[in-house]
Amino acid sequence: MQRKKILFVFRRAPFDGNRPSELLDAAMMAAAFGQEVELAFLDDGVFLFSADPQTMKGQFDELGDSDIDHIWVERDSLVERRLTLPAGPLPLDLLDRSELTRIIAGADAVVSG
Amino acid sequence: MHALHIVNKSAFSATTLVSCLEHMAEGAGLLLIEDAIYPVSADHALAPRLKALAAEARLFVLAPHMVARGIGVEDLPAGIRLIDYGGFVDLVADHSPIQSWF
Repeated sequence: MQRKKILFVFRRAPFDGNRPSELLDAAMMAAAFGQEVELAFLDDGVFLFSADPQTMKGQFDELGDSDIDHIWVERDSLVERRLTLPAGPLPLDLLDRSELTRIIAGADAVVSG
Repeated sequence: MHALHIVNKSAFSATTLVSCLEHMAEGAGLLLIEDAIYPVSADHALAPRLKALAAEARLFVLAPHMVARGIGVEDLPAGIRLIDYGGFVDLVADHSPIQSWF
């Protein structure tokens, strides 16, 4: 199977229905099948990083053990919401909106939630 | 190949279109379907940006959805490209990646 770069875009707040967690399931699945998987958190998606870790437990825990290649977090979205990234176990890559535009354009497939 | 962005929510009730416009690379196309078509003909704050995209022939509208909402061609900015369902398929085949902002 040809390896593709798949970008999963999280734009919704973590408690906005089950779409964020379903999207994560899809991303983990793609990574498990050897695809090059990247996640991008922007707009209300960045609220994940301010959510109570205990409440979120189980939902995004498995991210650290997965074969996800990059987790991008849009700096502009964080600033607009007065958020800063907490120090945590996840390797997060902060980037500007213009850089994210390039990441999107360079993906083979984009899946949004 | 250039990316194609697809938006389906009205800019009057959702910020999706704003975010999409801010993440479009040079040359990328924008296809408006369903309620996303409303702001094109309306006096919306985003109208100038949509008009600029239309002038560059990068703005597409799904005609059957436009007709269903009672929006006429005369309400649309110059250069906008109306497509039918077959054209939708062509558009997807001619762009990569496809990002749906739903």
